[in-house]
Parts: sequence; C-alpha cells; structure tokens
Amino acid sequence: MKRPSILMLITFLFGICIVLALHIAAPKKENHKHAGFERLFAPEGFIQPIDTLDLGRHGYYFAGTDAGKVFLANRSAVGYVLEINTQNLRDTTYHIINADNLKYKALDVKVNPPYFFLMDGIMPFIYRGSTTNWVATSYIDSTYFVNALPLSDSTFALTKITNFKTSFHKIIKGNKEPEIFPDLLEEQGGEGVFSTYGTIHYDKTNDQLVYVYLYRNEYFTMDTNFNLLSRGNTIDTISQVKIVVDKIASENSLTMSSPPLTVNPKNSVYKGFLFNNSNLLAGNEDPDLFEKASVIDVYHLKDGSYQFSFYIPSLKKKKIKAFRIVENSTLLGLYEHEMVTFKMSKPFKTKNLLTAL
Amino acid sequence: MKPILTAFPNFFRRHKGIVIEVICFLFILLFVYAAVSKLADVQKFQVQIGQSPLLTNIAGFTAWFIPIIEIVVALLLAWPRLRLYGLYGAFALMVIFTAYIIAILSFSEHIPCSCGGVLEKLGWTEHLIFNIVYIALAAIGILLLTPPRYQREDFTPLGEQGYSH
Repeated sequence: MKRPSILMLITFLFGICIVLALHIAAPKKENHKHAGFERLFAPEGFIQPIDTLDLGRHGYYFAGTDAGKVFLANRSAVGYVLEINTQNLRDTTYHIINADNLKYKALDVKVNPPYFFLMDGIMPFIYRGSTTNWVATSYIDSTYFVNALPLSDSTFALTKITNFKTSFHKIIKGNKEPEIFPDLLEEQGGEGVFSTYGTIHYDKTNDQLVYVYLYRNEYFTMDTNFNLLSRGNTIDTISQVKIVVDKIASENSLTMSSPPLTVNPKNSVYKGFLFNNSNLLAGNEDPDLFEKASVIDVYHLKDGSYQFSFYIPSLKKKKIKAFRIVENSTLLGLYEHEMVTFKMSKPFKTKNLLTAL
Repeated sequence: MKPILTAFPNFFRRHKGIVIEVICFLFILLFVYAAVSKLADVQKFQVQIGQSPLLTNIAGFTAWFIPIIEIVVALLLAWPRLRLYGLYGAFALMVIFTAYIIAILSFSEHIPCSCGGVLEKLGWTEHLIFNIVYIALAAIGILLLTPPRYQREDFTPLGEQGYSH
C-alpha cells in the first residue's frame, strides 16, 4: 500500500467517526420520553389489510372523499385528480383539470362533489369547477391564507397568519369581507404561529369543525360559524408545546431553532370520532412495535372520551403518509407509492363506535 | 485502444500541474463562498443548524467553527507549500459533510438544510452527488501532489522538494 492511500483512509475514517460521535451524542427519541400514560389496544387483528393499489408515483395527498370513492391529488403533477373506488381499489380514473394557464405557487386541490376547488394561499386565489367536466374558473378573489377548507359549495374556512398570529376566517361567496375569529386558537409561550400549528377537519355528518393542535395534546370542536363547542385532550401528557422559536433578524422571520416535539402529526375525523395518529410512546407500549407502525388513538368528540388504540402497519418499512376513514368500516392508508384499504372489525366493544362504523 | 480506467489517470498525470491548480481553485471557491455566506449571517446559520437533531446541542459552537475551518483549509490550499495538508483537510471536511448528509437522511425525521447561498437550492440527492464529486477531486489532488518517491516515506509537500534535497 502506498502512503497517501493509508493517510486518506485514516482521514476518511476520522470524518466518519466525527459524524458517528455526533449521532451517538445527539438527543435520542424525544417522543419516547413522555410515556406517562397508557393506551388501551383493540384486540389484535382489529384492522385487516384488504387491497393495495400501486399509485405509480409519490406526492399524492387526499383531495376529498365521496360515497364509495376517494380523490387523490398530486403535489408534483398538479394538473390531474385520481379517482379511486374505495371498495375494490379498482376503477381508477384520471381526471384532467382544465384551468387555462393558471399560475400557482402553493396549489391545493380539494374535491367536494359536485364541485372541486383549486386553492392557493400565496397567489392567492380560489377556483371552482364541476366534477362532471373538471373545468375550473375563478370563484373568489381571496385574501392570503395558509390553509383553506371548503365547508360547502360556497363557504370556506381559512387559516390565516397576520402579524405573527394565526386565526380562523370564514369566507362566503358574495360577501365582500371574510369574517374573522381571532380568539379560538390559543398561543403558548407568547408565540402565535408555531405554537398554534395544527390541522382543521370538517365532519360533514355532524356539520362541525375539529382543530387538532400539532405540538400539544389538545383539540377543539366548533360549529361552522366558528362557535366553540368543546375542548378535549389527547391521552398523552404534552399540555405545553415543546418548541423553541427564534427570529432570524436579517429576514425578520420566525423559525424553530431546535427540533420540535410533534404530538399529533396526522388525524382524520369520521362521524363524530377523531382518529389521531400520535407521535408519543405510551408506558405500556413496545418501543420497537411503536416505531414500526403508526399508532391511532380514537376519541369520541361528543364527550371527548378516549376509546381505544390500534396500529396501522408500515408498508415496505414506510409509515403511512396520511389516512382517512370512510364508510363500511374502511380505513384508507396512503403510503409513499401505494394506497391500502383496511377493514376495521366491529366486534370490539365500544358502544358508540359500533353504531358509527 | 487503452481501457478507460488507465486512460483517465494518464490524462491527470500528463496535465498534473493544471489539474492540481484547478482542483485547489474549485475547493477554495467552494469553501470561501460557503464560509462567507455563513459568516454573513451567523445568527441565521445558528438558528438553522439548531433545527438539526445532530447539532442542536452544539449549534452555537458549530455555527462559528465550520466557517472558520473552511477558511483555514482554503488558506492552506492557497499556499503551495501547505497545499497537500489543505487537500487532506478538504478531503476530511467533505467526508464529514457527506457522512452528515447520509446520517441526517437515514436517521432523522426532520431534515433541515443550512448550506450557504446557492447551495441551499440543491436537493439532498444533488447535494450528495456534488459532495462525492468533491471527495473524488480531493483524492485525485492528494494522489497527484504526493511525489512518487515520498510515497513510502514521510510525505513532504511538492513545494519543499527543491529545498530539502
């Protein structure tokens, strides 16, 4: 062996060792450290995979559901919507959206038959079209928003940030100004953007809205006029957000300056029940099992009671990206490249859930 | 026709001087650019690397240490006598950066980026390829710069040949 190759090998190993040392010294598994609560698991076999559909590409997200079908839109191929029959995962249809030369920056497609919506909070605009011909035309000259959720054919719930503070707005076609509801989101740590991050859901059956905080164990329900109906807590112990926010002075922007502790990353609402994918390990859980699957906790929104938990398995070692509950006790799991339908069994004795599913 | 594997080293050996100059120039450009764009806004860099699970506890130290090391290596590369040390330094830095990218991509849920300037626009895969190309450049530079007769003894940088013998 020649001298430089040995020296280079030593240098190489030195470099690897530094990163290994960093990796070993790095704070571990923050989501395993707050296990001061327990989960009640449904009997094994509560959910059974039924069908798998290879979507052929990644970047899909749920755009909407309708009786017996689900609509997927794609982040990288924004021009079309994939319609899939949820009962057999066949009969897939590609709908090509026609919205002549629409310029977009953060396009979000939502399907709420008989209409579909193209929404962009940065440009900003809301386009509407019919799901019979998939032609979209400008519908509302909207204000800027972070997220928009169609509540009906002509009403939208917007999440907006103004002056480093997040609030809900309701916008109705024909009304000039959106209505503002500033007091529903509660900030923590004197910071109103990151500490109030979360997901808003619309429960069509009960005509109510559900907001689940991302960084704390809390959710609340509202009617569609943004009147607070109830507040509830998820079973974990994170009542205060664990995030560190710093300002980048040169850009006058706020950003997180340490990895945040995510509590409720993904959720879905169905007929008065909240299905919440928690990021936190419980005291009575096997950490390996927890890491290999996505745990779902079920809550009854009417009284905020915790029902039970179950795991959605990973596919090709990847956890679900998103999930939805639809009729016939079916759970739709969206993975990187695939969609899988799971059947939830009814024998589990939870009185309320039995009737809902 | 010569196999391509031997044709390449021959090309590098024949144009040794210019190849070494180009490699050093590329490294100096990279490190000075990266260091200056970090130092120009250290506070932002510090906040950004704080988001990294591997660096969050030592963000304050790293935010200064990395750009300073980059400048030191660039200076070594600019000085012909110390060029070989500079290339080893550059090689080590690129290995560290690459191992860091692989570590963050495979073990972490949050993948922040805090490379300076236009490098921020690279995707992680492009970044990986970019780094591997640079590692290869450093290796080529080291092999070319180490004089054959010193390869079995303690290496002496090329610039010192005339003085020591």
